Amino acid sequence: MSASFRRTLAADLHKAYASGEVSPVDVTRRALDWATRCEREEPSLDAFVILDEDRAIEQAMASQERWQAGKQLGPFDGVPVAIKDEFHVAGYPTAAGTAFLGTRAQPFDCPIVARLREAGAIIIGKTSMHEIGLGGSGVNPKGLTARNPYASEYMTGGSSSGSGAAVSAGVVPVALGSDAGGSIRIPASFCGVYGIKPTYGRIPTAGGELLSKTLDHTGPLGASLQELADFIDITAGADEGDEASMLAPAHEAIGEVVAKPFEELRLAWCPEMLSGAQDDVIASFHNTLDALRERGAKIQAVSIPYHDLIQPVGYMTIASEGAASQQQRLRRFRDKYSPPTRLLLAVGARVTVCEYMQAQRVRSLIKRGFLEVLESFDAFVSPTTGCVAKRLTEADLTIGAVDSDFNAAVSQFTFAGNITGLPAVSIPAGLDRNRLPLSFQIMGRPWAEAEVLSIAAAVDQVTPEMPEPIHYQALLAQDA
Amino acid sequence: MSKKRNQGSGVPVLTGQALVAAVNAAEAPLLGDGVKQLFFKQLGLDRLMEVDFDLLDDAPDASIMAPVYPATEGGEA
Repeated sequence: MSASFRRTLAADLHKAYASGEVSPVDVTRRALDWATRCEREEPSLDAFVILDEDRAIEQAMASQERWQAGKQLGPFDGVPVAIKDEFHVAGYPTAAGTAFLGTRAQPFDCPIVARLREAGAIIIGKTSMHEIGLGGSGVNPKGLTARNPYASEYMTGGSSSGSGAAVSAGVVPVALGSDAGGSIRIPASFCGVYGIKPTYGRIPTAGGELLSKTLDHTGPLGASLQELADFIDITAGADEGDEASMLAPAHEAIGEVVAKPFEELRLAWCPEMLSGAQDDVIASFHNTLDALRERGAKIQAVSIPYHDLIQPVGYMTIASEGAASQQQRLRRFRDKYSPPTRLLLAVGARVTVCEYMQAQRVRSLIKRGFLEVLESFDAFVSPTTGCVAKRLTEADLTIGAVDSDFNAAVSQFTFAGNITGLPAVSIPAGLDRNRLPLSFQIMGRPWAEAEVLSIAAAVDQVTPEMPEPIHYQALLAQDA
Repeated sequence: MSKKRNQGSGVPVLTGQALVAAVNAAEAPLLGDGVKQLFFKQLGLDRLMEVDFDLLDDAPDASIMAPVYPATEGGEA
C-alpha cells in the first residue's frame, strides 16, 4: 500500500519510546484527548461507552517505567487498546450495547483482556456496539451508534462498531472485537481498517456477553496486519472457560508478517457468490484479482456446493442460539430491547430443533466444500461485504429498522467464515464512487492464521491506497 | 443466490409502527409462527429444509458441535 497515508502503528510507538522521543504517558494522553474531542464533535463519533483517563494514565506510567528500565514486555507494551463492551474488564460494567445490562462493575478481566494487560497494553476504554451483537449495521437505538470516520452520516458496520471507528479515527492502533456473522470484518470493511476472525477456538471467548455459542469468535481490528498478528500472538491459547480453546493445537507465534511471493499464491474464488453484490464492490474485487494475476498469482474460479445456503444456515444458527442466550433476560427486560432485536429474537425462539439440526447438517456440507477447495488452494477470496456503508436515517437512530436487503449484503461473504470456523481476514481496498471504503477478504485453512496474514500482506500491496479519514489524528504528533 | 436481495428484493424496510406491529405479532402465541414463516421465506431459510440428505451418498450426520478442528486436521498445527 502507498506510503502517502497510513495510521500510526504499534511499531511506530515502540520506535518513539525506544528513542525517548515520547513516552507511553504522552501517547495515552494524546489518545484520550483525541477520543474525547471526537465524542464532543457534532455528530459525535460515539466510539466509546467508557473512557477512563485515571486508570489509563496509571497503566501508561507503569509502561513508561518498564521502557525506562529497558524491560518492556512485548509488541503492545505502552500501546493504547480499546475493548468492545461485550467483554469483561475489571472495574467496569459490561453492557453489551443494551440499556439494561452493566449495572455493576465486573470483578475480573476476561482472559483476553488479562493477557493484553499482562503484555503491557494500555486499556483506555470500552467501545460501543450493536445491541447484544445481533446485527451487522452497528446501529443501536438503545445505546450509542458509532459514526464512520470516513463519512460521519454513514454506518460503521457492526457489531464491533466502536472498535472499528476507534481504529479508523486513529484513537488506538488496535481494538478487540467479536464476530458471529462478520462482526469484526464488517466494521473493518466499512471503516477502512484491517480485521481478522481467527480459527474457531484460537482465542478464548470466555468472560463476556457473547451471543452465539457455535458461531462466536474473538479477534482484533487494527491499523495494519502486524497489529492483528501481534494481537493473536498475545491472546491465543487455551483457557478453561472455553472448551474450543482447550481442543485447539498449541499456537506457534506468527511474529513478523511477511508478504507471500505473488508467484506462490494459489487463490480460489466463487463467481456465483458475487451475485447481488454492489457494482463497485464487484469491480474492486476483480481489479484486485487482475492485479494479482499480472504479478504471477494463480487465481481460479471454483464452485462451492450449497453456497446459496451459507447465509440461511448462518441466520438460522445465530437467531436460534441468540434467542437461547437471551431467553432469561427476555422475561425480565423484554421492553428494554430495541424493536429490531426483539423481532429477531422472537423469530429465533420459534426455530424448532428439527430446523436447527437440519441447518447444522447443511453447515457440515458447506464446511466440507470449503475444506475440499482448500486442499488445492492456499486461500478462498471474496469481497468482505456485498455493499459499502449505508447512510444513517433518523428512524435508525430512534426506533431502529430491519432492512433485510442490507442485512443480506453485509454478511454476504462473512458468514462462511463463521459457519466453517475457518480464519478470515479483511483488508481495505480503496474507495467506491461515493468515497466509502471497499474491502477484500482472505479465508484460509484451519489454524493457518500466519499463512492467511502472509497472503493478505501480498494482496495489500496491490489494493488501492486508502486516503486519510475525515476524522483522524495521528498518535504521534510528528505523523500529523 | 436465488434473489439479489441487496439490490432490491421488494422486501420492505421495517421501521416505525410497522416494526412495532411486527414485534407484537412475532411475540404473540398464535401469530408468532406466521411471522416466523414469513421471515423464513423472505430470507430463504425455508430452502434449508429442502435439502434431502437421503439423496446424498455421503451425507454427514447432524451435529450440534461447533466447527472445532483437532490439532491433527489441516493448517499449521
